[in-house]
Amino acid sequence: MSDSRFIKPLRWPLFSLTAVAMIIAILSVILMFEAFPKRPQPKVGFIVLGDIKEPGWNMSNYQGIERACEEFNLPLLVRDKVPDHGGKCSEAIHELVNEGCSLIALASFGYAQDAKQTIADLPKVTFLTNSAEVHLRNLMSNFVRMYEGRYLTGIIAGQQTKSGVVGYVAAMPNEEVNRGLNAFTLGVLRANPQARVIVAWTGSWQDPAKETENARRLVREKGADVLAYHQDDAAVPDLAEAEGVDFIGYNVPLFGYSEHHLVSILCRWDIFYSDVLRRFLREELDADRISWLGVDRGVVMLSTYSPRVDVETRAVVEAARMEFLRNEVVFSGPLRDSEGNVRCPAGEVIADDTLLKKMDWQIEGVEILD
Amino acid sequence: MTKSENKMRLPRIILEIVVLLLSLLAIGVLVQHRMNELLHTSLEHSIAKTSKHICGVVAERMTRELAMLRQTAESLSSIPEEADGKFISMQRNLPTGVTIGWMRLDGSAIYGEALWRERFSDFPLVFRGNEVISYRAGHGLIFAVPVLGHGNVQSVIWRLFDDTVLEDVFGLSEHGEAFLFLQERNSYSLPRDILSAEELTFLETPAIADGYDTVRDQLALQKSAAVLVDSSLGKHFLFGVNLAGSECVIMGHLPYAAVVGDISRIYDLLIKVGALVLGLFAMVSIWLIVMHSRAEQNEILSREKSLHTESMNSKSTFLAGVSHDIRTPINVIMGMNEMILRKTSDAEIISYAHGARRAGESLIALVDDVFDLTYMESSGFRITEKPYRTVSLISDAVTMIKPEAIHKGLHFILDVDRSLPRELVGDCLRIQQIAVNLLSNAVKYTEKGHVTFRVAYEPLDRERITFIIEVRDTGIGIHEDDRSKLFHSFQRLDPMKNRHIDGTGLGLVITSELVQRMQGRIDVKSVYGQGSVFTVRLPQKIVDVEPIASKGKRPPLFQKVTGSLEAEGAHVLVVDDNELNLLLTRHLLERTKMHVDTCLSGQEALEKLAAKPYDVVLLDYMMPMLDGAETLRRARVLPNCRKTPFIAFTADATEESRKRLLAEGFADLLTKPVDGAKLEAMLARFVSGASGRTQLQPMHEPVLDEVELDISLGLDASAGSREIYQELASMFVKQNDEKKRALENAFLLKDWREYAVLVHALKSSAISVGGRGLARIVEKLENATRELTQQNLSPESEETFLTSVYAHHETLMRYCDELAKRLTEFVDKDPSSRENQNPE
Repeated sequence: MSDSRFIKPLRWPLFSLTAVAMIIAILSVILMFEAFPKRPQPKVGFIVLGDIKEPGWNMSNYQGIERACEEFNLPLLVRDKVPDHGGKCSEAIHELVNEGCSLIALASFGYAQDAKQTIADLPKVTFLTNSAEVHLRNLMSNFVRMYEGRYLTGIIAGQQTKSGVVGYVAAMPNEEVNRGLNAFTLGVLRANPQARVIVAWTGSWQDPAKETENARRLVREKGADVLAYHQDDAAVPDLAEAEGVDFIGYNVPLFGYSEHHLVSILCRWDIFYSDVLRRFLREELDADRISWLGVDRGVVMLSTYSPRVDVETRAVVEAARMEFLRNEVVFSGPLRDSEGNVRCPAGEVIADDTLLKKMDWQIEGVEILD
Repeated sequence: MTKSENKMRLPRIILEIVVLLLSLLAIGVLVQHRMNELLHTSLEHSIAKTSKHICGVVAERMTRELAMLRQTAESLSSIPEEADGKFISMQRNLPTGVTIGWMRLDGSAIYGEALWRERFSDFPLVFRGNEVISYRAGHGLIFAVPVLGHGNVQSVIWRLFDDTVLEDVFGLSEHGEAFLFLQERNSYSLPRDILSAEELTFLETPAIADGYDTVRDQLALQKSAAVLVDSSLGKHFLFGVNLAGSECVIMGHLPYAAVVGDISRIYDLLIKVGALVLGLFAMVSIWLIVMHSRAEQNEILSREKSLHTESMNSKSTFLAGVSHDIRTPINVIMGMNEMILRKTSDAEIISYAHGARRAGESLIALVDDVFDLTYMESSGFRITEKPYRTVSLISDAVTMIKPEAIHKGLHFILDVDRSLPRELVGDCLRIQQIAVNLLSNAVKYTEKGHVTFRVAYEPLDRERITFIIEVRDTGIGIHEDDRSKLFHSFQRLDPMKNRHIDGTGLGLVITSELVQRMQGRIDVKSVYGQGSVFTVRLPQKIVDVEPIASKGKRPPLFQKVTGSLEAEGAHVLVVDDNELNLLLTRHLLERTKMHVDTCLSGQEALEKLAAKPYDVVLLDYMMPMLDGAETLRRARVLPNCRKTPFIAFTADATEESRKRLLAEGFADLLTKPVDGAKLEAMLARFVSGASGRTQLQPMHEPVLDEVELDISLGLDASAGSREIYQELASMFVKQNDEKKRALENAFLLKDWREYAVLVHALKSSAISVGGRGLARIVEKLENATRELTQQNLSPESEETFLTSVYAHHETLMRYCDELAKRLTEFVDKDPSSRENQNPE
């Protein structure tokens, strides 16, 4: 009896504690039970040529995808400064896939070609590219109708030039550059039918010295008083400032330049990537169906104007923008190339597919700097 | 503590069970809820998945449709010459609800209807060279393909399906119980024209519309989605899937039962079985709780029991204390009363004192009864067996009861079997108690007639006999129905009728308890209104088989235990912390002529004992400071009192305490209140042995004998003839009441002449029956009344004589009764026992 009396005060708390613990255990088992293991959150990979801290293409692209990933709460893994040749891209792809990426954005034109086999070997991973030259079931081409922006700035350049010569520094005559150059020229001619657009090839996306030299030549030799360019860096604006001529920026904010910086073409990569990611999540990405977003979707836009751009010019640009919103297109016939061949008869429109893959010509009104 | 625990227990058990049931219920509900939730989630998942397949089928048909249109476009562009004719023939063979068209890029129609470019959201894309499938509620589903030439879009052809034909063409109605419809993404518009009223009502029910909103929200970021909606129309699964390649979605809904169907029955079964298992678990738990608490209760009970045992011991200690405390004041009262009786000769005061004594005695009896009963219930009670003399047992009982009986005017008849063995073994005191209880009951309940005390035996075997005590009375008797109540505590039969009889009602209970303890038997025979017979049979061992009435040298049955002790020169020390007790004892011992010293404490006693030797010491057992035992222990060391007998005064009359006291070295003990006779008897034992200076002297007949019945005087008056004397005696008895009445009348009327005549007559008859006392008092009254009848009596002397008459009239009346009683006894006596009862 003395024993039980000793144990007694201990017994009930012990019993109740056990009971409470068991009830908690039962409840937690019930509540924690997950019949459907959650789908692993897709991770997004991003591979880019330059430094993501470098203003221009690299940084604006990166910031766009970063913001889009934030919107959908998807983790973003980045590999920057990856060259577009020598298999470095494949290495980066493997790393990202190993880290769980199921969507990888290849943010340079050359990657798709360089890593073609790797992409084909990873059918469960979806790749995004801005190249139209490689076709794989898991490689999705997504483009920005940047040429629409070029068309609008062409109007400004046409309005602004006094000498009637507009200089254009570009990397190489591929489809993308040609689209931009041709659209720009159409814009210049719309504003100033007598104007000439002289293009100077640098042969590289990023060669500041060559770009500077080309630009200087265009100004000094050809008398260009408005410069535009299609390069990854900002060598041309610097030269234009130095030479005291007007220029059109590309993916560059206005800071640090004078009134010669008439306007910049900006790409809202965040809108672009948001659209891509949304379709990726809906499982709608289809290699056969390219996505091409432009001014109408707000992906391509112009920065604020320099005071040097007068109200009349601005009105003309706005009118052209409204045409885009009404589904008007840049490349509607009649169109001839610089050789004089008819590329698009009147009443017809160049199909998107053609624009993407077969724009291997310069339009009438374009001259090439030797 | 235990009581409060007891009170606490029931609510606690209920609380425990309620908590248990509630938790089980909560778990059950939670499990069910969770199971349903999981079931629904899983169904939502599977429906979302299934809807992808549905979408796949639909998409397949659309792709086919688009491919056909593409072919047409290609053929149109490849052979432009035949295009017109081809298109016209196509147009002719169209099924109802389907239209086709061929339009230029500027929106003008080549053939068919000119469509506004913005009529369908995706439609403009076709003008950029893309194939388009687009839907708009109310307008239908359009397929558009560009006609390309040299990489340029030349024109556009389209095929439009009306809402009404969609269902059939794209298999939207071919999915069992599911209802499907197309909708633009992010649009709420419905194809009202084709929906039945019932369907519209369904889709516009708020809960359903909200459900579809949820589906739409989910579709923004996933291929397909499904939700379970519980609306006024029942439970439904709503689902939706994005149609790849177009800005439209397929929406649908399914009744819950169609999906869950048999699965829900299986779940029901599971839930029911689960509930049963939980219920079983609950019952087992409740059972365990109850068992647990019962075990707890048992534990508490056993603890209580041991406490009870402890408390019984403390109870007996307590009772001893109470007994002592009550006896001490009674002792004083009784003692003082005794002194009054001895010191006064005033008849009135004497009668009051008698009353007080009777009351005191019954109070003591009451205390004794209560104490006995409670003591018997305790574990300490033992029957103490030792040899005793049967004669003294009987005589003690008779001595105690007979005066009472006689006083009440009853005949007390003693009938003892003369062959009764002289000495037996048993608890003499307890047997005596039994006898006295029965006898005093008989006396109490008998108004007239007789009480017979029969003592007999039956041989049991060589060593034992059955000792029989039988008390027979002519009292009120006991109802048949009441006999079973006789031996129960505090039961008094016929309380209305017997309310004038004092007593606790415990006597018979104690008696029957004692008889049982001695393995005896008590029987009652009774006729209501005629009397009762109580027979007690006790097995007793024989010590001395010699009959009590053998060898002629028979011991006097009525030994004078109240013999007066005279022991001049004996020294007695009385020690008591109560001064009144000391005073009383001193007075009680006055006539023994002993030298009595008193003191108030043990310490004082030790000093006196050291100073001079005492023949005997009476020592109060319970004293403050030095108690009796300690005083005795210390006294034994003194040279003077190594062998001095110490007698303890104690209120604790139990056998247990007696044993303890004797073990402590006391020679004997006297229980309080101290009775003069007992005290003297006790002292006689020790003092005589010690000094031999004492002698027993016959004591005068006690108070009852003041009538001084002198039979020899009566016999003289009857010329020595017993018969004549008996005759005279019975005549006196018969006439007694009548004479008394006459006297009373004369007294009340103050007819002193008549009174004088009557007392004179009484005087002669008193002398004729031997009533000396009565004769004496009658003489006084005769003288007084004779004086009162004198003519010229002075007022002073009249008053004197009147006072005398008043003083003696009551005495006279009492004396008459007493004498009549004594004579009745004498007359009724059996000649053989008459001698025994009146040894003088």
